[in-house]
Amino acid sequence: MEIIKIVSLGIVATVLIVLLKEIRPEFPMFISLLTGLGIFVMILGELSYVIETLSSLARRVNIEFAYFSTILKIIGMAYIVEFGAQISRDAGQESIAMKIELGGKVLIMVLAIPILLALMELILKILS
Amino acid sequence: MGVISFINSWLKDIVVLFILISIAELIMPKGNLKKYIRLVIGLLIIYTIISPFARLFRLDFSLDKVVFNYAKPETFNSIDLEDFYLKQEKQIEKIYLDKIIEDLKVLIESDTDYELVDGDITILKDEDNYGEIDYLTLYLKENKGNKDSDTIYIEKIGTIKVNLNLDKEYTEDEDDESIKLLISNSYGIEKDKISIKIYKKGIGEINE
Repeated sequence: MEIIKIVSLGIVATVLIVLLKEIRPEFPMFISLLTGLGIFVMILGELSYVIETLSSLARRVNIEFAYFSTILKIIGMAYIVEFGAQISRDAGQESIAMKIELGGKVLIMVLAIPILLALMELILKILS
Repeated sequence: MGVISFINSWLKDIVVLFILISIAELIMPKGNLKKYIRLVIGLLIIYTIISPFARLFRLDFSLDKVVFNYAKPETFNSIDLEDFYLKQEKQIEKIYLDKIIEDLKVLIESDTDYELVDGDITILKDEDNYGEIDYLTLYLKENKGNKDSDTIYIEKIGTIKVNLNLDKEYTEDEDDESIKLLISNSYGIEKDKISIKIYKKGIGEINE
């Protein structure tokens, strides 16, 4: 059972962090980083199944597929950014977390702008 | 019936899109970036709703193409592009080397009694001297074309050996020096960077 593995990994990590916080204050960050990565690796297989289902659904309708994969890409980027920012925040580095988020926002905008412009072009074409 | 099937496919697109979006919303992370994802999803919804009008007005509009035109060049398929450039570079290099060999063939055949069978060229790949010949190995054999055309030459076929190193069948000769000098003068390569191997014919040739 995947879910039991994931939950127990999380609980063990939490207990470890609570215990270690008093003795070695620098350890909890590493443990949370490793736990995050571990859980992510565990769900990777299932995630690919979900994504595949979504993409086969998207292919069935008239939506241009590049479009939908852009959304998936953006969601993936958002997850990675959140992961990094959360770790920085846990370590007390609010400013670095903000910068990571800024980077994520800019990169997401880079992906979104072409779609926005294309849509504008379509609307202008229809109206003219 | 055209109108009904048109509306039918339009509705189908919208319904499936909303199902997709609700799933996408489920896997969306919480936090500041959510609104950016929503923005893109909103654009997708607008596109799905208005795209039938483009067809109605018979506009030739391909979203993929336009998005691709507006996108930063490396946003899409960056790995493919890199591969493509690598392949292109290799092709250019191959053409360049073939061209040099062809040139050498003409040069050797017109100025000496030998003809070029094969050649190995190593070129420099650093920034400043890119493309300069680093080392040249040529495999030559005596040219038969200069002799009397009425004569029929029968070459003795020796034991056929497979997978032997080509080098063994070619010998270095005193004629080397003159050919080396010729190539060295025309290409500006140092003489010790040229290696020439000449194939000598078997003893069994019969001249009639």
